[in-house]
Amino acid sequence: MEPRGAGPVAPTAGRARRGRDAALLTLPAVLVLLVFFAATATIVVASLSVGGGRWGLRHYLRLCSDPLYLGYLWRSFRVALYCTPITLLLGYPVAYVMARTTGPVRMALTLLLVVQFFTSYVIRAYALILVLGNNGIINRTLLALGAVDRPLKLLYNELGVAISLVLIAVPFMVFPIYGVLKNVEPNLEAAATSLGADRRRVFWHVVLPLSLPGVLAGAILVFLFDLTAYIMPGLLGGGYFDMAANVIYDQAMEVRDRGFASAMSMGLLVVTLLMVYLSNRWGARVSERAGE
Amino acid sequence: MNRPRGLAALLALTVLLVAATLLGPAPVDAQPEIVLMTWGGAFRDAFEAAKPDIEKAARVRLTFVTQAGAAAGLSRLEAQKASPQVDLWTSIVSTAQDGLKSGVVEELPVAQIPNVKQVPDYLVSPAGVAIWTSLRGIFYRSDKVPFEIKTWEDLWDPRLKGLVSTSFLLDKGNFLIMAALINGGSERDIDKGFEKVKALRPNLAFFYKTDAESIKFLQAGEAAVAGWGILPNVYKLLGPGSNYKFVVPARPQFLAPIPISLVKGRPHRAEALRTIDAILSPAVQEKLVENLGSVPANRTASPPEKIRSFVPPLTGVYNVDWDLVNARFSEWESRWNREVQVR
Repeated sequence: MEPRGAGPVAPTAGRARRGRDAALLTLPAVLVLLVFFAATATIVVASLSVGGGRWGLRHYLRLCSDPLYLGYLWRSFRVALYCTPITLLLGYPVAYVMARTTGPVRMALTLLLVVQFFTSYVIRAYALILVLGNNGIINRTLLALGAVDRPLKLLYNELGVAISLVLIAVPFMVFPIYGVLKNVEPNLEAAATSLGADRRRVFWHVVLPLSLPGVLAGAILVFLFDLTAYIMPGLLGGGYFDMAANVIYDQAMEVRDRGFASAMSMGLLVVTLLMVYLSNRWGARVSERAGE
Repeated sequence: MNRPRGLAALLALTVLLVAATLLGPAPVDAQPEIVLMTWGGAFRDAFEAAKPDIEKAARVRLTFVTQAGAAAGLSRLEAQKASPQVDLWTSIVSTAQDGLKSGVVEELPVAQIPNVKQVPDYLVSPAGVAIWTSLRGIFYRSDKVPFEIKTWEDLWDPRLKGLVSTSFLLDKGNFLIMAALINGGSERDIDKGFEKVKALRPNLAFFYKTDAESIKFLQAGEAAVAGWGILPNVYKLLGPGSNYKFVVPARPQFLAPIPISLVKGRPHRAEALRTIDAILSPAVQEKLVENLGSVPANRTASPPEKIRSFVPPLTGVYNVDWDLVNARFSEWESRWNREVQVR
């Protein structure tokens, strides 16, 4: 078919035009990636610079030999590892309800998540202090009911940071799962039910397998969000539960040891890339199995 | 519409919009612009209040850029080193010295700033001249603390179990130095400081990294005492009938001179120096400290009446050796995380 408003176009000219269009459209993304790679390259260079124009692995050796700093990386990894499935358990039902309802319920849930999502992390952190703090709603209620005689330690420790990360990350889990679930035909569930499957069987054998791409996407997002968390551990950990990103910031900005901060950043980046690679492989395997 | 033509038109429009935004209309005001980087909150408010006087005296248009902290400000200056966007920068002494060493600020030509003559010598350094000194002390809530806090040692009182918060990073380990001093050490013998701070652990609720955090946590009732308080930030919360108290213990006393530094490589150097001179003039000094509860750097200016009620005679001021602190800070920070900030 001829393009409108133009004369006959040779196939090669059309291909060239399409190529030019594609190049123009991908240009912004390429620029963004270039900035990202330039920033990463700067960090790599800083991590290898040992001062006086010399290069070496001193910062990496320090990172690998000091249990304190390796401990921060391990802590971030560990927290992300157990917070992700908890976020999934909380987020999946919400996504399911959103996908299977219409009208006010879906609207209310979406609104609730979107408002939460676009509220500043700092404001959300202070809101959580008002709920979980020594003087917060939970402790005041428990004290008033006589259930406890002193406030529960819900903040300034691992528990407080984990609770905050799970609550804050829920939208990252819900939206990818919802995006997949709303495209899963409800008729499939009805068909499985009519063939004698109970609700549990329908969920495990029909709904869940079909929603796995969304679960995987959500899990990756949440895992990376938790792994690199900065504001929640910084404000709600009370200094007793700093995570890797907090230490990197302190080393770069306060201690002014950019080389070591860069080495720690690279450590965190390697863990991140490894997790993305493994989950992609797992995702590909799941898709293959689904294809079979 | 033909697709390539549409794309080209879209691109042209984008380029036009970007160019229009970047080039913009020429500024109506012919006064040269001087950009001052300082903290937000009370500090920015104080500068905003004094801005008309500074602009009039220095014949400049003063604009502000906010920094989260002095160290963050220095990092920004270092990132902009090739093309600086800031003329003047307020910080703390240790960070200003770092700025001079890293070459982002220039040695201050004090001879070109007439009002520097009115500033005591110990407040003038090549990295900058102090524009005021701010008091450090203990900030607490009298409705949550069962006794009146008077000395640094009071922080160790068992009645304050779980009620104290403090900071290592704020003022570059100054709390640790204070602990060393009251335990017979100093920044040269910091083991005494660590020993003393470790004994404080039963009283410690949490640690804060910025003064803003400390205030928010106190307001939310999460702690009753901020063991390292910065007066200008809490000044507006103090007064008769207020539950917020600020104590400047008699010994050792810590005064933080706030230096203003001249950033290297900016086009309006002479105007920037005139701005420093205007900031150091008695009238502007009094206006600034009135809003911050600080002590003016110019000895002919008077401190605000309100602080006289809770600031004792400043006879026990300790001068920290910031060169030594800068050299050992990394080692202290790591040790603090290992020995103090753990449960």
